Amino acid sequence: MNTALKRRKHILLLCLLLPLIFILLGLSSGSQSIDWLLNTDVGQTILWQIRLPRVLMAFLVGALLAWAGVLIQGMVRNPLADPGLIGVSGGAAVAAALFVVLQAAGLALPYWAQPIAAFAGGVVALLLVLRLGLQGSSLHAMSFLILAGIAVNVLASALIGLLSYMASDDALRQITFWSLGSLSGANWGWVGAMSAVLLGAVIFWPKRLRSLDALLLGEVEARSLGVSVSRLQWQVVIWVALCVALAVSASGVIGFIGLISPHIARLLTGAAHQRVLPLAVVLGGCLLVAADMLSRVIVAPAELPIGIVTTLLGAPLFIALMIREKKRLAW
Amino acid sequence: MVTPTTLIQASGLGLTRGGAAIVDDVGFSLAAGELVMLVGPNGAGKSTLMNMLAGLLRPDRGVLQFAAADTVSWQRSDWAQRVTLVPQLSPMNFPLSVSEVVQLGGLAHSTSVVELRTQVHEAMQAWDVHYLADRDVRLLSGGEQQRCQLARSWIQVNQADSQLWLLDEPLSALDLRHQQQCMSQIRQLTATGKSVLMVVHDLNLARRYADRVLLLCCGRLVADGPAREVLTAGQVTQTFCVETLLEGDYLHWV
Repeated sequence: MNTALKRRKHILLLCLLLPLIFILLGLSSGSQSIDWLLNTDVGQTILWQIRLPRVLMAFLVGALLAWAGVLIQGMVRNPLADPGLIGVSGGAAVAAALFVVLQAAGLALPYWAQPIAAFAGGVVALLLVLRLGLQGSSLHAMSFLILAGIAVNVLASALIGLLSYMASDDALRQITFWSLGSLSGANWGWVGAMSAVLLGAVIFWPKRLRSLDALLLGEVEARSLGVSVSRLQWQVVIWVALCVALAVSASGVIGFIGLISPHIARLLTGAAHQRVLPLAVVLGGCLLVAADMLSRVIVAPAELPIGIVTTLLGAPLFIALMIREKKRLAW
Repeated sequence: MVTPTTLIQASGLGLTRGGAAIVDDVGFSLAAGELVMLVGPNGAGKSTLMNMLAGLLRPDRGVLQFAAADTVSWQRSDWAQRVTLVPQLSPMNFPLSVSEVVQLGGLAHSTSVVELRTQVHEAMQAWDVHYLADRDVRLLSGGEQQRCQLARSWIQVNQADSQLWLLDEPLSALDLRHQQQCMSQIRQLTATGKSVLMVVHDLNLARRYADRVLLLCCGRLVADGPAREVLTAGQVTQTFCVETLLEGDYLHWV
């Protein structure tokens, strides 16, 4: 195991420096130079109203997805689990797509209600998954939960397919936004909401991280160590839903960040949550800021949907991790 | 000598799942400082009974008293402070190090960081895993993993409140030397007045070390008494369906 990053102060330093570097890089990349932004009135407006909230939102979305990833992987004791697994992002995307189609069909729905619909969709999907998956306190609850998540995700993609088929051209473009992800809707309102949730998580989770470590040993082991496992699982599920639904409402479905960030963090520091969580959250934020820079640069002045960028980079990485894991287990 | 006080008093314990009685009308007592071994064929209900005694499974029937107190209202943390369960090894998917795993043994009790560090050090020495401290637990051999798990529970069971150590086949992956070390640690622990209930499959080991043996078959308690009285050739032949002979003080199978 790599022990170079085991010391807490190294991680702390990394967690403070990385976001700063990446946010500055994100701010300075774009069609206009940072000089022009700082020295003209229009530039100032662009900097404060467009570029800064966008970069900050990229960081926050990445951080929330990574946080959800750490929690869900710990809960199902599988390092290859993804927060999308429990159906939240699928549900949110369906609700958003439905909203778009209804709007295009002439229903007078206010513009700002779309993210709220997405959030509601995420919560409904989650409740469905929980109803299917967490009924009773059977030892098999965890695998049922994942199967229920898969079922809800399949249903969600079928519904999105159906809605896309029925949609007008304009509505279709908006549905694409939700299923491919984009940060172009960034504003200070989202930045505020996400900061609040992140702050809440920072207050709530630290004293529960050792219980999560115990859960890694196994459910029986954790319970025999005094951890109230079902309560911990509920807490994880609620926070994952909150983080993912918020991220999806603001920026559509962005894959792989929640899967990859905890993985990289674990390669660097081992699996203890006290070190993995902060590092994964920072990495998730930085990765999404970097992916956003790429998405704006590759086909400039247009921009590629960010979900495509993260998936194109994330999928090969995921396959590489799987091969590595397979080799390890074959040993 | 002080008269042994009763730690566990179980009567009429029963658990039914899917229409079948997994544990049926089991009653026994356990004295403080006693080493009792639980033996029986596969599917006899040994692990289920252990889980009940650790408070992980609530019995459908019967009463379980712990130091004369009823356990019905106990919370998870109350159980963990008094009873330490070492379940059979389960696979691990995450790169925790040996010292990180051992350290989790302090979770049930509120120990200070400094104190815990000393306890981790001592436990790793006692279970001969100190030289593995920084190793990834997934890369250990079965026996090393078992010792790592035992070291973790050693911290929990050695806290002042902890009174009962439940071990589910703790010796299954250990080599001869570590089996002997394990038994001597258990003896040290019972000498301090804590009780140990362990599941074993080696009947000769049970005859040699146990103060008492509980023989379980098909969810029912078949026999309860001193090892040499319970594990007779006749009883073993009947319960395990294997022709058994006693030669000297050793059980042999034909």
